[in-house]
Amino acid sequence: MKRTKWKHPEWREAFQPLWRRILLRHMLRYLSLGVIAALGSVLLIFFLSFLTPVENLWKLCLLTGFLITAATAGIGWRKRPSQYQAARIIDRMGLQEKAVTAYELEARDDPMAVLQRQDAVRSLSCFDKRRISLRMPAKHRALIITLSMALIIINLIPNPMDEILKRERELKAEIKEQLEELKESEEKLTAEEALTEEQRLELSGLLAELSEGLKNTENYKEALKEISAAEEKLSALADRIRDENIGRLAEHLALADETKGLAEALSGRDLAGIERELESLKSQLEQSDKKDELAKQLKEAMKKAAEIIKDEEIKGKLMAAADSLSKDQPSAAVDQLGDIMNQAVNAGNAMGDARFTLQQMRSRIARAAGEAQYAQNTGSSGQTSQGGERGQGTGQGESRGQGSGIGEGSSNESSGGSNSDAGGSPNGEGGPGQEAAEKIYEKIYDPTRLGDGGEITNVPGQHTGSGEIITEKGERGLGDFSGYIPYREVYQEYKSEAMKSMDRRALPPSIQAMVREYFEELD
Amino acid sequence: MDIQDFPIIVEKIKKEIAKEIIGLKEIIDHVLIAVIAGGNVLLEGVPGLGKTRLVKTLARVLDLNFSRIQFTPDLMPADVVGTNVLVKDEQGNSVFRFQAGPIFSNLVLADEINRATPKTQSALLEAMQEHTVTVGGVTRILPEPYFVLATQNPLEQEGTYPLPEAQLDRFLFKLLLDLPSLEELHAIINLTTGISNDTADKAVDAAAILQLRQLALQVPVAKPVQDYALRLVMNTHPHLPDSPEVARQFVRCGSSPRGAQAIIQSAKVRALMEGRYNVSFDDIRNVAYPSLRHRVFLSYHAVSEGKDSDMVISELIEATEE
Repeated sequence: MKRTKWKHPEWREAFQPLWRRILLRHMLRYLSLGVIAALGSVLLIFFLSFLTPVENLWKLCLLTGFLITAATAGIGWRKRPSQYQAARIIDRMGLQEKAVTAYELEARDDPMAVLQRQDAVRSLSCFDKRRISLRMPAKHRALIITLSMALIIINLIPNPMDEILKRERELKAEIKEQLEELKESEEKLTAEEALTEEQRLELSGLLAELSEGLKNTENYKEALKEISAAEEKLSALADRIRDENIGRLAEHLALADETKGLAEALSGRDLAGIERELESLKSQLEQSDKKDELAKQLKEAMKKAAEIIKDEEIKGKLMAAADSLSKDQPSAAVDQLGDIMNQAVNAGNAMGDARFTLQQMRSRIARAAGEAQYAQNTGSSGQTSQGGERGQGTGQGESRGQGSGIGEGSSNESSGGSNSDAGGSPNGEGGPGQEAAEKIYEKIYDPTRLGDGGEITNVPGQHTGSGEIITEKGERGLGDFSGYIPYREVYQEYKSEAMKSMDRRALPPSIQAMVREYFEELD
Repeated sequence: MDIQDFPIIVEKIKKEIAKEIIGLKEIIDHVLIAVIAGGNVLLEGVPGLGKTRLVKTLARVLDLNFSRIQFTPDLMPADVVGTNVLVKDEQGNSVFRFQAGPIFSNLVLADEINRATPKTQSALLEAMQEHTVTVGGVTRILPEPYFVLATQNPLEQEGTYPLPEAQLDRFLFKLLLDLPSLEELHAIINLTTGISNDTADKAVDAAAILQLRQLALQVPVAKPVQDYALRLVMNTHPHLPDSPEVARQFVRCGSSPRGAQAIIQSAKVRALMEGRYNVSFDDIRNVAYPSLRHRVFLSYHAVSEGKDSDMVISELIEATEE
């Protein structure tokens, strides 16, 4: 029942002020209801923020509070009392239905209607407006006070999720920083001369794909998966480059009978075999009757190989070895050939920088994430059951990554399938637990890391005493420890392992050069 | 007559009645409401409470023809409405002439109405509702204003004939007379056992009463108020889907639409008596008891629970939202 026109001014003058006051009271009540609803919602959000990390909590609370209050006010406005309803409200204050009757009779001008209207106007004029109270209802007041107090109290309680949020922010910043570094690395790698144009493009595409993937990741697990996938692809690319180089070199070495064995060892990537064959070749070049002919054949083979090898460094060394043979320096030529073999086997290490960057990236992200996880589990440790502990640490993590000396790969799941290598050793303390508990870390001292005296690493698992203890008899290591071992034997074994490691682990060429120099000095 | 004089006239009537009737203020109010609304009243109370005196006083104050019919089991309908008797006319011919019964008055006191047989009681039906009497195929109009004030004694049940629902429905109000308070009784004794010169005088006449009735009919009823009255009547019915629990439990049969008419009609008079020109919820609630108590028939469950009609009506009023 809405009315826009007033037929009788005396009725309007008497009724309108009261109607407006009723409207005001109605809106104030809805506003206070809105404040109550907003406070309740904010309290709920605060409560939830104790269970799950909520980004921009205060902004969210303010926005929610504002929206709810505004929505309630909007509802209040939509449900505002009409004049008819206002008349009924006034009547309930002792006017004995004079107002509502006058409202209904406003269109009538018969004597009874006029009398009734006059009576109503008289009563409305005498009506004390203050009886339409604008004060907030006591219940609303009590609720607002209670909710405000609860809000203050909940704010005073330290929220463990704040720490997690802080870590997550750091993690995001870390990913952003790593992306920038990746970009730099990409630029550097694509300028790498050792790579063919096709390889450059492939590498560039791979890194661009990783960069895009990282931008879209929502958590550290996805980021680590992306990195691991990129690492695998990078590794595959490096393997392919190396295979190509080895294949070409071996093909040319197989042309001569004297170097056929060397070609086979090279094809089989048998470093010990290469060593043996080189020793044999050296002795043949120094002591054989046909040493000159052999040197000539070898020189020709090296020159032909140099023509088709794309790697400039290998090419140069092949030419240098050919020169040494020309100068009748078989020993130097064989050593240079050994270097070439090593380099061929380690070819594809142009990707080392990229892999190093990826490893570093994964290491930093994993470390940041591991700390965040640690903080999260500290916050909710009371909810973690003992039975759910995983108690499974992988120590060194995956094989390709540990050579960087960073010591990452401690989170056995976060890096996908890449850290399933046998490099880790189970601590044997915890039994197989639930997934929920795998996020619990304890700090252990790992002295086996390369680079320094060990690093603090977060390893999933806790000491529970309930895990299965596996006892194994220690086996002999790489050398024969049954007695004294000659230095050279140990040294060769050590050198061979180091070379293998360089092959297996993506070390940047500069580091590889350092390792080689070290062994050269020892030699 | 000016409508603003309405409460003044009513006050004048009440003042005159008060000269001879001590107490019974609410009963007098309701009787006056019924008289102005043109309805019949059933007065229920033990003997000696002043029922007959009230009706006599009212007749004198209102300056109306008054007749009293003492209902007894041997009372015949013709004794009430009258009959055709054989008489000689001026020419000496034998002709039937209608001898009007006591019902032909403005104000009829049907004393102890429940003592008469249903046949005789039913003789009043037409008079009460239509204000006409049909005898020998001839319908005669009763004088206006016309109303019946019947009394019944609630104690003596032996040899009585309880009024049928149809007849009860013809009464606008059923009023219950209570014992007077000690103070009132003192006043009654002083009034009735001594010499008093202060007797009730005529306050208005029949024409004025009819005018008052016309004025009352013009009183507007706001829609929510009328809606409330009608919902209250509807709520007396136990078998309706929205009927309240109290009706389902304690009411055997609810009020007829005459109940709603009675409420609205009498509420209008009450509003004017209060000096208002509109009907309020309070008016409805006030007249709901006398209008509904003889129209709401209680179940055995209500009787066994010790509930009377007024209790049930109170609960019905509570169950009906404004």
